[in-house]
Amino acid sequence: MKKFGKIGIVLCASLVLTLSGCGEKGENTQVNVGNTTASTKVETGETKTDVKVEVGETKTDVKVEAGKDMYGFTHNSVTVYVDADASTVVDKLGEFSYFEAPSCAFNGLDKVYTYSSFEIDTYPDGDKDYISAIIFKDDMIETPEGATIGMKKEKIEEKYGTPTTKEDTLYVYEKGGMRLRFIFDSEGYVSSIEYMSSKI
Amino acid sequence: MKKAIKWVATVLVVVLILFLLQRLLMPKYAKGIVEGAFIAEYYKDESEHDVIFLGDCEVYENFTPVMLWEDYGINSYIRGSSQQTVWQSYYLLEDTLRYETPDVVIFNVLAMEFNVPKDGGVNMEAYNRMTLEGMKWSGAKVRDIKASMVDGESFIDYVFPILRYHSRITELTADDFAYMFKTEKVSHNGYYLRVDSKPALNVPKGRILADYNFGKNAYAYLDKMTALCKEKGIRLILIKAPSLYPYWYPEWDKQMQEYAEKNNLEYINFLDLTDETKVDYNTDTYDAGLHLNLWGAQKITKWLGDYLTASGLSDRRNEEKLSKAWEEKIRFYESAIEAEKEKYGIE
Repeated sequence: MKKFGKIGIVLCASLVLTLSGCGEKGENTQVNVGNTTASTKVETGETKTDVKVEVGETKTDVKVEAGKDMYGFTHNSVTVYVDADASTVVDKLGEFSYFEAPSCAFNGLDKVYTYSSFEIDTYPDGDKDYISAIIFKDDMIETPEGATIGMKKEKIEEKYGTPTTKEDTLYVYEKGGMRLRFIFDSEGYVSSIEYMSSKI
Repeated sequence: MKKAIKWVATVLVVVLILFLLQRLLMPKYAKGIVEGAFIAEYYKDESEHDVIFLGDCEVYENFTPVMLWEDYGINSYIRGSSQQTVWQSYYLLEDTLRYETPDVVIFNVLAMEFNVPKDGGVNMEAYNRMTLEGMKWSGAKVRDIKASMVDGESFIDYVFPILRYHSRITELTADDFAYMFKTEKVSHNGYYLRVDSKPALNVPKGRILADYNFGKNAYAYLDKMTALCKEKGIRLILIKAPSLYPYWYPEWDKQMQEYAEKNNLEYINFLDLTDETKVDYNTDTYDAGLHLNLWGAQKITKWLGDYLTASGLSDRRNEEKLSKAWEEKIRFYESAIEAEKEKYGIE
């Protein structure tokens, strides 16, 4: 020990401090790759998300509370929120066609459930799938606030107020970490309505 | 003097320990998600390539360099990686030119959908690591890292990956020790081989976008790629691989057609060539239309081999040293095909 000397002790101590300190910096955010654990903790309003992701030889563990203080979509008396566990709602919304896409960065599938008038996309976390997006396909459905495809831009502002992001062809309303997006055509009519998770 | 030696020895021991720890903790990509190993494998292939492919999974899962060699005598390599962005493709081109100047560079334009790193989504950091860590250190790598980093990433973590991966210490597996210093080859000149099939059913159409124009940053890097190829006398071919998903919008296709025309480049959209290539999306894809399996890749590669040969690339199978090198690769490829067939119960 004496031979290793004070220098070695100082260097090793620095190393230990560097490595241990690394995981604590930032605001509860840590992302890792390759057989590695990542955890992200986000608290927005009443929404709390705690995600653990491992990339490479993947293992994931997720705890999500979705819905509170978010825009939701109701169909067949079921209200759907992004970041909610998809398994609890996909069968209750009617008949759907199914598509899945494997990821090149982690073991898991992005899934797409296409219903007659809307689509639900999911992302994997651990052994569960969570809703990443709800996308309207036609004007046969409306949001709980009464917005539909084909509606004028001004009507959307009447119903939802001033958007968080306002562009010629896009209004974004952020709430509880999620985004409700209205896409307009060149004449100012809604051509798409999307509920998007903050994770995509 | 003795004190100085002690200092040096101590520093060396600590550096050695850190080095070994870093080797142990870094992901090996030897099994499972092997795509993370592709970029580094290029440096082991020392031959001069006629063709270099750049791009995302749509290049490394749709074209087979072994077939280009066996049937056409074209020596090619795929410098592809998962969700490779256009700036990463550009810097990989810069990096490649440190070692060789190919006759042809083929770039898959799906990457144009991302204008800035955050467009790649929440997993972008993982994708960045899979592309950037495999690159050898150079100015190109430094610039690539700087262009690629998303919020929460820092350059120092790329210089000393141990800072990034230290938490893996509690999750190490036997593979981390087995592949600490040397990993086995997992690609076939950058090609990812699959023989199983899954028909392309219910492929979703693209969702409506607020803006179909590719971004300024994406175009800036495509311009740089075009300029660099022109400067080096390289024939740049833009392609859209025949993957059905993610959706390739007609508006995007038009922009690439116009770009190619304006810059006097070739642009091949394989989605429009299904009648010629005879790709059957019921049998030639292993994941319902995202990527082709070997049988699909062979069809596309045949079309490309015919096209490249007709447009002037010469057959190099008479080069003894190169042929010898390929003999070994072909053996590895054939054994991998047999292993895959056995895995999926295919005769």
